[in-house]
Amino acid sequence: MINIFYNEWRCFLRNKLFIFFTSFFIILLIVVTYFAIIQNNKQIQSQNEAHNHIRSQWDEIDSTNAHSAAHFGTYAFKSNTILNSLDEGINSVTGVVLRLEGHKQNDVAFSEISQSLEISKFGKLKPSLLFQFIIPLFLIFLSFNSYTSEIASGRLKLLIIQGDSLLKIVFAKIVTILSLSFLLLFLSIFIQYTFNFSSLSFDEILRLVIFFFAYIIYYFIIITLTILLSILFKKSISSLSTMIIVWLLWTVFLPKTIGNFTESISPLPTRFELKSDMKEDRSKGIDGHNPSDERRYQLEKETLEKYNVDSLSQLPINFSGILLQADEEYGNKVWDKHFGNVYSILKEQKRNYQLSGLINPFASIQSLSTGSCGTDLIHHLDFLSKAEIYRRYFVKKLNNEYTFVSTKGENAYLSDNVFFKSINDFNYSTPNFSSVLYYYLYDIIFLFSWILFLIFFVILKSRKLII
Amino acid sequence: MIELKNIYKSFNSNIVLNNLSIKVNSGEIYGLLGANGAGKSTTLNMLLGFLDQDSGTINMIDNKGSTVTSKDGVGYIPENVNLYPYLTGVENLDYFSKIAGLKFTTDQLCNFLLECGLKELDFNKPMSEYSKGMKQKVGIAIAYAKNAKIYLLDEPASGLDPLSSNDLSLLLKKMSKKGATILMASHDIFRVRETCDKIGILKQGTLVKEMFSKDVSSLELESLYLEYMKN
Amino acid sequence: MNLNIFLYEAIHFTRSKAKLYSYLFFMSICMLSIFNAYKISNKQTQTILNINEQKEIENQKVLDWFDKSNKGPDDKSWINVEDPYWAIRSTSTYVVKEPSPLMPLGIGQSTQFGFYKKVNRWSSTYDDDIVEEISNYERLINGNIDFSFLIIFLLPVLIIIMTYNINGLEKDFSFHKLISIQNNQVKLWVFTRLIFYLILVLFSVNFLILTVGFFNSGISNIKSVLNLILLSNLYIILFFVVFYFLNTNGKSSSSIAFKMISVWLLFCVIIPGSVHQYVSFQYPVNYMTDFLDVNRKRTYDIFKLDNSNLYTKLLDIHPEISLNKDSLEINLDNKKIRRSISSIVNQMNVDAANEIERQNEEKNRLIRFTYIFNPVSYVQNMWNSCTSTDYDSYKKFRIKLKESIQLRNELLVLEIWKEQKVDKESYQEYLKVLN
Repeated sequence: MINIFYNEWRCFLRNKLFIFFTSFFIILLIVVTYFAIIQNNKQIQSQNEAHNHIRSQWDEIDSTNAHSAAHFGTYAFKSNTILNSLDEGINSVTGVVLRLEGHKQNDVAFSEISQSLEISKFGKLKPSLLFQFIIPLFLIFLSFNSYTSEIASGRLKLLIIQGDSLLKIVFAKIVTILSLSFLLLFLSIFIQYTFNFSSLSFDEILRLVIFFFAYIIYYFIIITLTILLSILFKKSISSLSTMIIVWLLWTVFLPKTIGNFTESISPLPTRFELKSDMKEDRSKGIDGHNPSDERRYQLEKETLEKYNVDSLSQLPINFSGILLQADEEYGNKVWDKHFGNVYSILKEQKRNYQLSGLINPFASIQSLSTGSCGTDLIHHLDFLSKAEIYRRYFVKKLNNEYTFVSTKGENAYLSDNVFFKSINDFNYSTPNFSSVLYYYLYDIIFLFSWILFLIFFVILKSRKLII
Repeated sequence: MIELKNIYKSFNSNIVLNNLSIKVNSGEIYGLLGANGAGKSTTLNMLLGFLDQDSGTINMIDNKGSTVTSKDGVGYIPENVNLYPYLTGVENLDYFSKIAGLKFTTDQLCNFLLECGLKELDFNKPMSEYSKGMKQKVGIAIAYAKNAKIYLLDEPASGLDPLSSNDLSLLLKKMSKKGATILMASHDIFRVRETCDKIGILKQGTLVKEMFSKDVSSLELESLYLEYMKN
Repeated sequence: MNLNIFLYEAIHFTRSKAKLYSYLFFMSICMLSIFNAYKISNKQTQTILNINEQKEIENQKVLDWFDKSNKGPDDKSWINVEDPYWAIRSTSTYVVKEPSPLMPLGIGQSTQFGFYKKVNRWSSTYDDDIVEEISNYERLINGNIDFSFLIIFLLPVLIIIMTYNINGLEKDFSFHKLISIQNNQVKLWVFTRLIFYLILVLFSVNFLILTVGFFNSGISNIKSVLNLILLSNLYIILFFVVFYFLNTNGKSSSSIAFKMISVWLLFCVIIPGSVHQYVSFQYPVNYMTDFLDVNRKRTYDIFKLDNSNLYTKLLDIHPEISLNKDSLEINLDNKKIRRSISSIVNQMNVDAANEIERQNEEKNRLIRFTYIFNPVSYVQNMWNSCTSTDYDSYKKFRIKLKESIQLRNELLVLEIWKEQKVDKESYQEYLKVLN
């Protein structure tokens, strides 16, 4: 087998067209990866500047009312991971700025895509675009006649007479072409690693490894399927045209139709419906129980009992603060109910889409690619959830100050700069891949199932093949 | 009539045809024998108008003395007549006639095919189901329907079984009797001897021997051919 | 041109199952895309209907207060709708962008923007409640089965499938010489065969555009429909011209297919992708800190200003208010000034939003500059413009929104400073002005 592998490479290297296209892809990958890193670093820098700018304004707050500071609020900026330069996933369509303030949860706004005219339907020219769309096509063109040309030229018979098994020949062909994709992937990962050597954490290296192997598996599927089709059709041109149609179905058609289908079987509420329902729940109580005036009355009663006083004016604390925090917590419950529902629908849609990996391995590689780069829906929802957790910490801290601390002393209801500075900043970090791995189990299972299925078929066909 | 006079042709200082002169009279079948690279295909390509000679003259004239150009009075039958596989024999003939600006009724088309030896049963089968011999008959029918005065055949007998090969000889003879001038390039000494009136042996672009087939037996032609090839 | 070659191409087309089925499949997908976009458009229309209903209910509630001589809701005694400040605050106003009747022909950027906004005096054109509808971002990235996408990106692939073996199959089977001697104009033969597919494709596309255009909007959008037809036809012809050269010079059908796909990849994926990356490099995503500053820090700074400073700022925006009263002391009425602050903040918001629009416009200028070598993005944006689903259409929506916010603040300040009591008629007048 190793001899066939060497021989295949020798033939490749003597083929001018192969040399031209391989050199083209190597140069393109180097340029694209390099520029993607530069562009990403520029964006990370711009995000850090915005973050520091907003935080410095917070740190400069003078003596002021803590509740007013809750309205003043802060902003969470969606950060780009280093691996965003490989695959930016959904980052261009999600908002990048989230206002965090008292009383309400806001939507993440200002997506990149809404800031200009439309440019590319397939995203920026990043390594992922090459890995997902263009390199597979190159591999199809390399594979479609690698086996049939052996039959047509009569070499196959010779090789078998010389003692090689048909199966070995087929796998040697697959491994040869796969080794080329290995080279291209390795090159891109290596550049990524070299340029970000100092800033890559262990988790990011692990993510890079997963990214690498996921694509290797995907390419194995593409190459094997192309060769298998050429064995089945016995004609290279039929294999080529079928694989081009398969490529189109996998990369363009199925993602769109299945995406629309998953959305129609698990529909999301419109923003208007969601807001109206939340407003209703907040004023009338969740599901019509415990409306706001009743809640207020109950809270008043409990607080008076707790401090053993008869009226609010006798309280040693600021009741407004208690009321604000209670309202906040009720609002959180309402938000958890409604946005929890939205998040679970989104996750359900993602899961249903991932199931399409059974017929479309592109869905699996896309999910693993964006997942390993931390740029998919799961990571976005993690950002939103952590930002909301921070918002709750932030508002509670201010409400507590307003309730228990700021009532004391001469400057009643005013808190000083030291207090505001003491509130921790929001620093988002991407979750460890191991903690989100279970979201990608379907992708991993389907990719491996495809491998097993194709190997099984190749073995079966190789046994029955009449040369 | 086909007449090639003192034809020279070279590609990048490599001489392919060297002072080649051949004359094929009307109603005559001429067989051009030669090894690979001898210049047979170059000669055909020149007659077809795909290549220009460096020097020398080419004349193609019909029975009435009018000049025939490759586009109007010439029929060409390639080595493999793999026409549109999804069209039937009749449809292929119809299509190729139409692109030549000719329009025939279905009956006329069927007649052409019948004349060229195709069985009626096969007329409406897609060509993907045809044997090589059947395809060749359609190829000849295309030339016939075009009322070609000159037939140029490139390795017509290659890959044909003996029966089909014999059919081909008979068909070409039939066409020549109708006045067609036929030039076929081939490796097949036996088939050339059986089919052609005149035979030329081409070696490295030079016509080394020309003879009438009636003057030699197949065995003699073979030893003559081998002799020329070895020297 | 030989009409027989043209007519015979229909037989070539129908006999070649892959071509026929690809065409039928494509047409079915086109219809599915139109249906799909109808659903999105209807969903937007339904939301707008709900909004109008809600608006009516809210405004009717205030009108009922007037009818019953109430000044506001029972549990909010501080509200007095006879006061212009509370009356105007109580008007429910939405600015909406109605879905374009041609949206079924192109969703464009409509899924990236919000299409309605409830306006209050503090609103701005970049508030976070006018972001896109709640949707699955991964689906947004993969995109919709959109008619414009099908025509701009997938139709060239259909054309490749239908034409890649013209003058290629003949060479694969070595009978191209036969074609040459049967027909002395091979280029014309290729051209005639391509014309068949061109007419087939143009007829199919134009039929769909015209049907949807007239069915959905009668002749009211005739100009846009005709523009779409012109644009799509020129785009399709452009591909045919390129493919004509590949067909005439191709060496085999696989080589023609390879070249055609390379052309498609270059124009539809690589060039737009490179431009996208370059534009993103030149103009990284805008975190809008200037706008955030106005929204937060600078607004709070305004609140800290004393009445005299605020009054000066107000006078800059509304010189009319100085004419209403002759006494400066009255003009410096704390309540009136404080209630008018939103107008000053709005002016800052407008300035900040203008700056964002300017920056975005700079980015768009760079994108437009690339059209010269990036025709696909040009066609895409032109198409979106015809279906009113492009950036500029949403910019118009933002301008409408800006005017509405400005109008509200203007009315609020002038009415507050006029100090007139509001009755039902004047409230109805407010509604009329603000809607």
